[in-house]
Amino acid sequence: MSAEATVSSDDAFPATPEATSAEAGLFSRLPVDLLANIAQHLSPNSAASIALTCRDLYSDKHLRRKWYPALCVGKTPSDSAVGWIQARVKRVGFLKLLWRDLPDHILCGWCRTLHSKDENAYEWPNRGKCPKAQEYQELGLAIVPGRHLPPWYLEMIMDCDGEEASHGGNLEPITLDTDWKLCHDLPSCANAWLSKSSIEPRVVKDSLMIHACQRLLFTSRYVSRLECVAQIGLVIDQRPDTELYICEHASSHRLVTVLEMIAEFELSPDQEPVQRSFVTDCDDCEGVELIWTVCRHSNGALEIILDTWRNLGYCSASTLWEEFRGEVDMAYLRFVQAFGSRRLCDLGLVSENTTGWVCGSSVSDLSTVSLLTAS
Amino acid sequence: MSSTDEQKIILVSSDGVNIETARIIAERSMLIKNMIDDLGNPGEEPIPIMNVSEAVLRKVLEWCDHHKKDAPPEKDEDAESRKKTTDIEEWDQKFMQVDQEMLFEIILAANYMDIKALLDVGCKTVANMIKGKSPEEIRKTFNIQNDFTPEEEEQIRRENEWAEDR
Repeated sequence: MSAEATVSSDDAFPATPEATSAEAGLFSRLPVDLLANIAQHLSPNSAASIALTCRDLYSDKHLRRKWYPALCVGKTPSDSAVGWIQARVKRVGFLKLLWRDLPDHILCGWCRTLHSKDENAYEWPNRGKCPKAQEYQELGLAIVPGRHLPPWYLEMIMDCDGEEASHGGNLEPITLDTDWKLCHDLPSCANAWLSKSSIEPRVVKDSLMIHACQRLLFTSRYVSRLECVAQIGLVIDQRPDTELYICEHASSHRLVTVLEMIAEFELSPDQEPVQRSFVTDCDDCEGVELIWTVCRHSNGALEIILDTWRNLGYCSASTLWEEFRGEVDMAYLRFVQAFGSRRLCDLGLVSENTTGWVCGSSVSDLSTVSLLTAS
Repeated sequence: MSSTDEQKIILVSSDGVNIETARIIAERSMLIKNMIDDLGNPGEEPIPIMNVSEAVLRKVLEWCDHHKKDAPPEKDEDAESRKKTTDIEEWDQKFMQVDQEMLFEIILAANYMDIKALLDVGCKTVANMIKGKSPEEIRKTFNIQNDFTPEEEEQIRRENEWAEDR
């Protein structure tokens, strides 16, 4: 491990002229097994930082095991957009450290790479936008049809220092709540249905959770038609990007269960409101949970509700949430327990008794109730 | 058990200084515990601690004294739970507020004397010193000689796609 040994044995890299000072660094004298012990306590960012200090530490395999997998993957989304965003956030944390040593660089918000500033070079990065910006814009996280969250935006929230913006203000721009809008099957406007979607970000247990709720309401007139089930199947299955966004692996979701539930309701002769729901997830996505709810209203209309929960991982914006925690303790604890067991339906997010237009209670409702009681 | 508690033993540091301490304190070190178990007749003969100087040995025994009532280390202790956190209890944090040379010596001594808990505290202290620092800041903190050429540094950054230098 000693610096001298490496310098003499490694002719490819000539030694730097400066002699090591009288008090040689702690790390150059540390036995390898102790370095391994220290490496175990390091985050990938810290491990990479120390690995970059000298050749010995850069080639140390214990350190490398810590930083390499975490910081050298995730330049482009491979399987999961959520996993990719998480990897990018980790990467940015390290690049911010590295940036401190490279003041003549800029940290690109799009491709998350340090670009060197060069007076003589063409426009970018001295002015203008990263040439890869467009490419990365398209790589954002889709939540509901027509709504893409760009990766740099999510990173900004997940990686903020907590003082930069208030908790609520920070999450505000992700929030979306559309009104009911009319959709229809061309060419006949008689086969119309309504759709509505909302996005509600939340910081739970230091993780950024994005909850989206999408609803499709098929009127009684639509439902009364014989081919209704097949039609609805087409709407939710064949046009995932325009009507109902599930995740980037739409084709891997089998909607049979949903359609079976609908068919079951069709066969039931009574007109009492009924509601069924089930929880599922995507085999290819990390941290995504889906709750499908099918609800038959008393007037015969059929509503399909898809709740998606995306866990984007550690979010430093949780400082203010922590302050609130005492007041919303009960709601919070329930959420955390359910979150731990990965069963969000345990929260009463989908209530068996709810058959109104607005289904179930959301986490925000739970928090509000507790807040009111506390004050 | 009480006789063991009161029993005194004598340790000899690498620089030849005799240090008297209670057996219960010294036995935080698995090295000493095994030596006592093997040799028998504790207290009769001084135990040499070859690689540890007086100053460091006194410091290590100070830690052992404070932690003498801790549960003895288990053989199959869950290594994962031990390593997950860099939290250090307050007393240990104060104890570790020493110069780097001493910190380094304590870690080596804890390793040699086989005191896992102290070794962990030492390694966590070093990990905390690294936390949140850039490579250059770490070099300054630990007096690490940068033996990369600027070209090599650039190459590493490019290879790992951290930076696009021209």
